[in-house]
Amino acid sequence: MMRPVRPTLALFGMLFATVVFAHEGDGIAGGFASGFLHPILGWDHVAAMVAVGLWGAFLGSPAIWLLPIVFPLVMAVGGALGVAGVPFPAVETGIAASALILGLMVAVAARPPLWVAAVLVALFALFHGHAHGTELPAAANALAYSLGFVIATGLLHVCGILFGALVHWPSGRVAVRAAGGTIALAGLGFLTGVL
Amino acid sequence: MTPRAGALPSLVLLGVPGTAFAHSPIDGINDFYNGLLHPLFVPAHALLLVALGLYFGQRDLRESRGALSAFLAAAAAGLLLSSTAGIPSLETLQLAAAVVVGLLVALHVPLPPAGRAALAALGGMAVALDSGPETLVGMPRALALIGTGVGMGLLLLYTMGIADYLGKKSWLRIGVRVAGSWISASAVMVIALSLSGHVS
Repeated sequence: MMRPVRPTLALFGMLFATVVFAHEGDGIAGGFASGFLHPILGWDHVAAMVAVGLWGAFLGSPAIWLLPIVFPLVMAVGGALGVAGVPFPAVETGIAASALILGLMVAVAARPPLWVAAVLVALFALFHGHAHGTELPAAANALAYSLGFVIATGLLHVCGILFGALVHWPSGRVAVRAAGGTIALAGLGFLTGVL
Repeated sequence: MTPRAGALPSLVLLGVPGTAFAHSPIDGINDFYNGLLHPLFVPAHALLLVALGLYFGQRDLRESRGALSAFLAAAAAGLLLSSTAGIPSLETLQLAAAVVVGLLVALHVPLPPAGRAALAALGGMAVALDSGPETLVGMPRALALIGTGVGMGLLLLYTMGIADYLGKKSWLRIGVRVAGSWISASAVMVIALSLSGHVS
């Protein structure tokens, strides 16, 4: 007798569900969540961040730690420029191009001098940072938001580095370069508007 | 006593529950705990203390004894002076210091002993001066300040310990340096936001 009653009661209860506010847009927790999700919810950001980690792992030490250090630092400068209202030419194009270029670097196994890799990564970091800075939610706690998107960016780098660790095996190198190629294709899609 | 015989007294006791005091009834302990947690609840303070902890933890802990002493002395002085009226907000200074210390962590820059002591003293003073509870006076204020001093010390020491532990493996040492870059990057963003008037 009880078995058909329980699901019926549950369904009946669902009719009286009220809105659940799972997140707050403001305050420290809401600011951190907003910032953390910002890079993750943008596929162009995700692609480029993972590519930085992949390329760093591919290039090996010291690039494997230098690139993930350079990127957030320069990204913060870009963010500061965005917050200050300094116009940046074609930010979204730059972000899309970052996925294309960095993906290509991995796909073709490019090994430029360390300073060239760092400058290239830094250049693209400016674009990403500018986008994050201009899109800060008005009610968010600034430091929490900044910490959120910096940490999310760093974790995406780590994802790329972990996958890039496969380069230690011959088949792994193929997989990593294929991943770079996929990211480059995605970048092309972002640039052309297909994605 | 059989289980059935014990059930009746239990039922009687269930009928007369009293209020449960989960916290100690010792007077003033709440002020101390509030002070203890204060460094964690002010993001700029936590950022700077964590950055300092990472920096000193990266190095040989024996080299950091002088810096720790300088930190404690400066923090104590800062807490005592925090009751002085007219101290402006030090958040920008704290964040600027966090940028510098974060960079030192990221780049693994060694400093001479005097430099380490000065860094620790500056950080301790900057956080402590900004930690005075505005609404408390007398003994509650003193307890809160003592709690803050303990909280600052614990946050610094725990972070040092974590950085020292992570330093045992090369890839974890990289993680510490990356964390330093994150701290600097976040602090740069907030300074920019403060200067542009966006900070809440």
